Amino acid sequence: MIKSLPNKKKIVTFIIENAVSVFLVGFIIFMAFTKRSFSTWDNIVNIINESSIYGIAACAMTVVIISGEFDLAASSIFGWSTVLFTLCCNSIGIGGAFIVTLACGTLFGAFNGYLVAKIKMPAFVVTLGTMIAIKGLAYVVTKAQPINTDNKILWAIGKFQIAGISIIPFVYLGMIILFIWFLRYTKFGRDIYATGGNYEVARLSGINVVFSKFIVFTMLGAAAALAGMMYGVRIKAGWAPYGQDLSLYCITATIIGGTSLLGGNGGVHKTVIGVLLLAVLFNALTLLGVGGSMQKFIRGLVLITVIMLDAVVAKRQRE
Amino acid sequence: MNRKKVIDIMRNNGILLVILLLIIVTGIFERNFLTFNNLLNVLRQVAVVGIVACGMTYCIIGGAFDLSVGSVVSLAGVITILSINNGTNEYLAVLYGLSAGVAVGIINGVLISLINGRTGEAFIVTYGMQVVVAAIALFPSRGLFISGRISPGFFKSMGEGVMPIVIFLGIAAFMEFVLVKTKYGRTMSFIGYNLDVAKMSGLNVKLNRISYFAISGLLAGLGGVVLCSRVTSSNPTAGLNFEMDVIAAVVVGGTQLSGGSGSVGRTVIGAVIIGIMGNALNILGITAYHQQIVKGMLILLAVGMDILNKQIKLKEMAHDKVFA
Amino acid sequence: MSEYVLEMKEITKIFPGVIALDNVSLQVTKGAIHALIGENGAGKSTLMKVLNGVYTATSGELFLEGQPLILHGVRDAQEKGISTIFQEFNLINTLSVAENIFLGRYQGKKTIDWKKTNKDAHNLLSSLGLDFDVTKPVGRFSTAERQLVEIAKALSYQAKIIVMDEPTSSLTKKEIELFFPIIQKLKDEGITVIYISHKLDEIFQICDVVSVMRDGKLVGESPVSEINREQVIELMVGRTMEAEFPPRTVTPGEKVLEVKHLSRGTTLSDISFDLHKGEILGIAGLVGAGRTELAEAIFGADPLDKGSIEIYGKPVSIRSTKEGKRNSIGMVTEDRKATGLVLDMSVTKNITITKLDAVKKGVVLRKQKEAAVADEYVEKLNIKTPSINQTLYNLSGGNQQKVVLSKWLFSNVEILILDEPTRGIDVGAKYEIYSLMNTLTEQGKSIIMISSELPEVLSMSDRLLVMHKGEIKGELRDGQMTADNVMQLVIE
Repeated sequence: MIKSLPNKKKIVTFIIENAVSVFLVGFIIFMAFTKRSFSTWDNIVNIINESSIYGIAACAMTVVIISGEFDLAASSIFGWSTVLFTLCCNSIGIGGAFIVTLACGTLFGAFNGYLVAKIKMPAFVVTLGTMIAIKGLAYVVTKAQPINTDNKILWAIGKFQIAGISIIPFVYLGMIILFIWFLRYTKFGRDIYATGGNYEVARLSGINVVFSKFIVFTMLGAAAALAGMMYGVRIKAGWAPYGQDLSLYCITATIIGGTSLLGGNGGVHKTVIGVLLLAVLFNALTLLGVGGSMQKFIRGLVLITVIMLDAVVAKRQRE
Repeated sequence: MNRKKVIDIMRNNGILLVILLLIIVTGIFERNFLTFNNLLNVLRQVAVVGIVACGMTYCIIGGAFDLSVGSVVSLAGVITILSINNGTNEYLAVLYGLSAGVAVGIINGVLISLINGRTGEAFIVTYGMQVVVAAIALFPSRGLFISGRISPGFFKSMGEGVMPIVIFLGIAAFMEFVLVKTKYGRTMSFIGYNLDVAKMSGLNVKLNRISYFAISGLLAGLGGVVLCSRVTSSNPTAGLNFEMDVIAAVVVGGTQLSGGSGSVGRTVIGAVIIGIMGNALNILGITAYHQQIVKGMLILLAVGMDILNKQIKLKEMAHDKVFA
Repeated sequence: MSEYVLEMKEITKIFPGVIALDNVSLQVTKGAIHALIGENGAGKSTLMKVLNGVYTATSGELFLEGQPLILHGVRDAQEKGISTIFQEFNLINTLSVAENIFLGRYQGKKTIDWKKTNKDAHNLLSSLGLDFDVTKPVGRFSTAERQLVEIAKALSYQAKIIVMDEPTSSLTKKEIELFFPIIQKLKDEGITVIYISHKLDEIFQICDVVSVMRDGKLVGESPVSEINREQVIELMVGRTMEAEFPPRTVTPGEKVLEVKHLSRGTTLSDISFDLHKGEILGIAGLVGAGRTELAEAIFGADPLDKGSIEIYGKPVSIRSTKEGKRNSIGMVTEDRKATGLVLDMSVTKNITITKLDAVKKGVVLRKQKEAAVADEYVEKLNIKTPSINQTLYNLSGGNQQKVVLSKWLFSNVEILILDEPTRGIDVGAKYEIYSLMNTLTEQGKSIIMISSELPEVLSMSDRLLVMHKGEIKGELRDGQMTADNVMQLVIE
């Protein structure tokens, strides 16, 4: 009798821990049976193409969350990158555009990282501040207008596809592999886990915790820029408000996947599932004819739910 | 000693001084700037941000954070205008708007208390709430602008003339009084500085924290009502990015994000100064988008200086002897 | 070449206002299991912190294998062959066993060679006779197992000396039986173990040499074979207590508090006791015995699951600290900086927080009233502060503690729970706090005193409860209240 108690608790914990995933998987199965258009190849390809762009940033967001922080500025870096990339494509060509945009995103990320890691400012206010400032920058540069490009190479890359799958999912796949390798097999990757797991112990063990916190924001800056460029490749335009919901989406996907906001565990392979689940959910909602504001509502609700569950699970594990 | 005092004042009020400088310079070059009419106009404009910032100040002093205020401004506006258009008594309509704000605040507070969240968790939960409430505000009008059928009366007077300024300053004065002079305010500081000490001193931490969110929600609701009274319409995205202005006002005023220390009075100064700055920038021909960049950097600078100051103070304290 | 693996010569460590170590010299023979014992506050942990690089000694020298040793931090000490296993483990719960062992020192050339990491970790644990799944996160292992991981980690640094701070304090009897052969194994491999413990039985079971510390001095050292329990206890406790503690004069009166069959989670089970008016009830026990948890359950910070609490014979329900205070219970917590005081606030504000209603006029807090209250307690308790408006950062530990006490005195509670009331306080201030406890009980207040310092709890208590593993093991009265009896109850 006494022995069964911890087991029961484990089962309950498991259910709570995976409640959102279980619910979503159930929902997908339900959709697959009830909605014809859902399980067609075209729709599946669509989901893959759609989710890859934000997925690229979600990989890096996962690393930030593993280090025990989070970042809101990613969405603005994304929007800014679509603008900068398109502008550069129109002026200095796509190669230069790629380098400049990536460098700029990295620099923004490094700025966040410096303030959080070195000055020790709270991440939420740092990334909130840069989020506003970078968004402002994007509006200023474009005078709030969308910018189009007719760069031929860009159009050609945009057209490329294999069995309906564009180039973007391949970039995403590359990012997934790169990040899984980085987190698993490099010293820096492991240092990030240690830093997020227990900052003091990691510091005492000789790990450069300041660098770890710095590098995660820098990487997210770069990844958000890359994601922005991929969006640019897809729609051949840049506009400041693009990607406004990116940070929210990435944080939600990461936590649904099973990486805890507390830091120190989880991984990119989990986030891939989280991204996929969210993508399928919103695709299904669209197919069901759920409107934009209702989707937004659900988006916020999902975030609140997963955060609450994450905290509850953490509390149960402590006890 | 005197020199040290001057340095201290500079350090503690650095950002305010820089902005003051900007205002003075603008005042010298632009005759229309430092006129009574222009300043009154600016005050009218900052009133709404100011009202909401007062609530946010409570939240931050109490050791939390409320990112959902912008959406609540939208929601309260939509509800009030819709109610009035539907022929509801205007007092009731305003009450509905305010209640929506309080309800959101209470939900925030309960959720955060449940997970025993500090500033970080509060930030992210209310971030989710911001999205949810923003969406709810879009539902009734399908995201469209609603113009109000407003006849002269109580509601209309809220946004007319100096009324917004009176509401803003009245609320601020009352809240500052409560903060400094009453048990409730003292308790808030205590909880904000150290939640555990507050708990182990026999204070009801949970209930008090929920009340800070409720007040923040209430004032965001009031901000929404005053706003749509002033413009006699409601825009379901009126509060978009509103929280940025609010946070800027609070941190530039000098309330510390780590909780416990701060003042509503200083938030008023922060809000007014940022308002005047915006006006000065407008006069200098700087666009709203440029100003957004300035605001973002301002928040970073205010918080960054605050933290550097604290580190310097701690170092100084280590040099001072322990008084045995 | 010296015959000692470690020599600590004339080590003195002075903290502001306290001499923590007074000219201590310790020699440790290679391959020995060297016990270091003493009451809390005797200076053992300070001495060990000098050895493992946390503190730098004010004066004195260290020699490792005859060579002078200068340490720059914990990691430096580790690399030089001195590892410490703290009671709070230096492990990252979310990472695997293998990774924790090699934390910050990754195996493999450019990328991490997990095969080698896991194999090396496995081998280290095997050398201790253990078979762990080294890829599982450390957080999933029991305390005992985590301790063994710490030992393996020490071995991976080629440790010459391993310091173990109360290694068995949170282990079950069975786990301890598995633990001792491992220490023996370390000894066989020529590794020196410095073993800090309260448990005399263990020392006689596995240690070779025992050094006893008291009041920051080394007061005795002997091979374990040439000394007996009584002699060790005498060395530990042996001092004249009269001078240090004011005499108790109060005769306890009617029953104030009665706790019946209180249980909470896994930490407290079936606890019953009572407290009388004017009484000081001591609670002794080892760290982790559940004493603080009991106090928190009574005060309402972490409410009880089962059982009942009666005050003056009336059953009360205490589900929160607010209800605790309403029922006239106050608690001075053991960590005053984390849970006792807001250091950023003034003396005045820290005192009046428990009863702001009393300094109000209408709804307004009156400055004069608050100041009068603060002045009263500053004078009554002899709190040394430049001003009542001073923040608490620069007050000494003793004065800070007096502010915590003032806070509860001001709220006029009848039952005061004092959790380690003299921790980190210098001798003079301690005496003042003891005297204050006497005065309070004379005025009819009742005190529950939790303390790990045996002399204090023995001298100040009218009655003494001894707790162990969440239960009350025994109650000692009058003549029974001796260090030896407490030890007997605590040692299994």
